[in-house]
Amino acid sequence: MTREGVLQLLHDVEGVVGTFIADAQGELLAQMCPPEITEPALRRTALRVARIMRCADLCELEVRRCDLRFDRYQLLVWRFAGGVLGVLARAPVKKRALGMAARLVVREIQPVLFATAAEAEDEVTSQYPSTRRSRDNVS
Amino acid sequence: MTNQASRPAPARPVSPSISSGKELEWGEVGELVRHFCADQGRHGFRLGGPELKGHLFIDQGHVVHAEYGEDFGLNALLSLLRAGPMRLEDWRGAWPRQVSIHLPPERLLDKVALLEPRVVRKVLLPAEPAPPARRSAPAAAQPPSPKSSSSPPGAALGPPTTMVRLTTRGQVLAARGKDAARVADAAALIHALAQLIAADLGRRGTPAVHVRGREKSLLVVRSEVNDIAAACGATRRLATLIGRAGLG
Repeated sequence: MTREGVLQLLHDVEGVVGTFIADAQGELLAQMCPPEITEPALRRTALRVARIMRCADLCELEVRRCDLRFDRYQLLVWRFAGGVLGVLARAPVKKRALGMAARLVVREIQPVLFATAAEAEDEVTSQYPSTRRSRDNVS
Repeated sequence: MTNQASRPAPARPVSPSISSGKELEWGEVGELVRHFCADQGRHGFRLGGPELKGHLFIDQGHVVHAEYGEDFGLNALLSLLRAGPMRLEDWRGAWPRQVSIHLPPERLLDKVALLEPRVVRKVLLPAEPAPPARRSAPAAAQPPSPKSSSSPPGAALGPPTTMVRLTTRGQVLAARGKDAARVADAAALIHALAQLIAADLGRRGTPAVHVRGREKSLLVVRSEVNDIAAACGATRRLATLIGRAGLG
């Protein structure tokens, strides 16, 4: 399944307007947002959310979630190993359904993300056969 | 007094220094609350200000009812805290039939802290160790309370909350708790980032942010008077504030 396909899961929950996934540094990896939210704006948002989380980490929080409320909208962000999942939703937010959908997405997105990372690594290492051989020998 | 009561008055004066009907020296209501909430006892007071009179009732470490002029409940308590020095007397009359303030002390102070930074400075700073119990009421008059164990009030809720209030320019107006300076810095940055996020997503309104960790949370909101209020502490302690910010 593609990243966007996984995100679609969240759009089945009433009130969800947009979704995105970013890596731990806040780099945008995938998104399903309405056209009025431009990709550059979403990239900046993902970076800023990552900064908010790092900022809270400095207050010894071990951050797992970050929720922002703007008027009638909420941006709900779940942190998982290797990244964050962001959901922009319109009030009233159905938090229980959304929480479960987010857990499902996190579970399904991780293999997709890590598979992509492994492929990327293979592309790099395949350019340097000697390095790859020596690594294989070690293992 | 409104809400006249069927509940029995305390069997004894609240302390040797406050005998029945005897006028106490003038004092701050904040000091009174902090002092008498700590001993888990049952205390009623009549309070006399320059213009208005009031009552304050404390039971097992909780302020359960307050009256001041025409106000009662939390509004009255805030007015009393703002009112400055008052004449304090032990109250041995009837108790309120119903409590008007339901919050445990920590949440009450959290709420007061967000509403009234000056009161926070006056009431909460500097923190004092709890004084020893000052009452020795008979068991019949003072049924044992599950909260009157050796652990301090609110201990089960986790570590105390750090609270700060600062202007949008970053000037700290009030602060209390561990690492208040760090929380103030974090709040200032988080608030600024949240505003930028709101603008990028095309959303209006003042943003509120709740960052949740394993046990602790950090809440950053814009207060009624348009400055930034932040609270950092055990998520359970902050539940009321989080709900009030629309992030529950």
